[in-house]
Amino acid sequence: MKGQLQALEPIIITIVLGIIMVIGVVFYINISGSQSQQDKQEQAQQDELVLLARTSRLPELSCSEDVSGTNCIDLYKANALAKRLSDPKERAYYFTLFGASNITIEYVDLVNNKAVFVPLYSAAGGNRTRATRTYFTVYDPVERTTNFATLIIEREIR
Amino acid sequence: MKAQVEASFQWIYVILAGGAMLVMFFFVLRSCTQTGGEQVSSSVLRSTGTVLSSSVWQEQTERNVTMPELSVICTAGTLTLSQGDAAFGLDNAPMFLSPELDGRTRLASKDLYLATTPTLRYGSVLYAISQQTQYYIFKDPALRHEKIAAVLGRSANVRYIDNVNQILATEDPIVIVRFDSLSDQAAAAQRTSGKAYWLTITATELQFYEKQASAFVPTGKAPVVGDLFTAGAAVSGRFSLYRCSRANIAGRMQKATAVYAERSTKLSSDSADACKPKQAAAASELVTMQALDPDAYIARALSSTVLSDAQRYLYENRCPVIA
Repeated sequence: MKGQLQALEPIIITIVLGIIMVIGVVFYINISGSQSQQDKQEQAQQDELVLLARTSRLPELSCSEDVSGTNCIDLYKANALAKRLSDPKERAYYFTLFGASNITIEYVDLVNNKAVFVPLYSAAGGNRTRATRTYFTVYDPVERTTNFATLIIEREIR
Repeated sequence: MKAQVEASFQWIYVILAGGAMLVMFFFVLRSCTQTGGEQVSSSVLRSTGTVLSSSVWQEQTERNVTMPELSVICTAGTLTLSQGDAAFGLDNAPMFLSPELDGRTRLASKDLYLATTPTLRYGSVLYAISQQTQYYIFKDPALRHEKIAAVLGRSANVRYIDNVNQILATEDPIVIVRFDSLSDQAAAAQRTSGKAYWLTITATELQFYEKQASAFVPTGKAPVVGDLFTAGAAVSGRFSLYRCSRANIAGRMQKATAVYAERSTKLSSDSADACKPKQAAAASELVTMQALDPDAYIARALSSTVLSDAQRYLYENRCPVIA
């Protein structure tokens, strides 16, 4: 009996070593997986900031030369861009700038005392989205009025 | 004796199993390293692309950044950063990039206008000028090199020279810019040792050459459409890169123009009566421009007197301006 156990000893050691190695590999894969998840989240946050900066400086949206102040969106430009972006071909071009996101401008029309939503761009599929907001002024070049506005960017969470 | 033989056999199994596990472990490690390397390349390209793309939208960018070693190519009409097998497309970003990016790279953005005076600001064009690429610009008596100097700046890798003897043989890659004349091209081909590009600028035309074997071979020509684009041609060096960047810029300008046209059309009905005729004239000009091919579009956008006249009138009469 003792002889048999002694003969099996190397095999048992090999099996134990194998189990330890498998556990090690699984542990390593888990750690690198969570690291890459963290990297993805950081990348997504960076993308959102870049997208906000881009959108706010887009010549198709920003106020004209005769309007002073930064962070200003021209209402007529916003409506013109929204109209163009309802065409899928145009949306395909702007996909490289905006990616899979929904962009909406919300402002308060003080004359009529109501909240107005201008859905600018819509390309985020799925239900899970995360919204980032930036505060702007929206300028009406005909009425020469300025209203407080929010630029809302929703991006898919993967 | 029998037990000893049995014990030896057991150890052979152990060695075989251990060997198999080592081989498996080696393959797992190798595939992990390979995937990791690809991820790093792709992440580096993505980050660099993000830095470049976001710099385009910042007005008056003027800064140095450290870039990884990247090649810039034009594939299927798209400006692309590449590193090994990994690639990152810059699609519609309005920028001119050096043929190769590495080390300290100067990012400079210049404003682009739809018409010369008064200004209809369109946005910015980014110039990424790598320290690795050496620019040698021949001084010309008409001082047209000064216009390029205004865009490229006087950084260490941009030199203004009087004769070909000042071109160093050790620089690689190298872009040589000469006004009007092809003289010294043969001598320059002899003096340069690595990749070299030659650009001849006349009053109306940009002619691109690339060094092949021991001579410069013409690769393409394009019309001169303004100082910012001429400087872009010097930064790009290669005809394919210049054409790719110019198409990107024209594409972006045309998209913005479409929005301006839509806006002007609406304003021509909503504005005060005194503003309407000029709003309508601007809208009509912008609609016409939209239908032009990229070259004709850029030329007209940078020189249209209809737009500048309308803009001036609208400013003076406190009407909503075109852009």
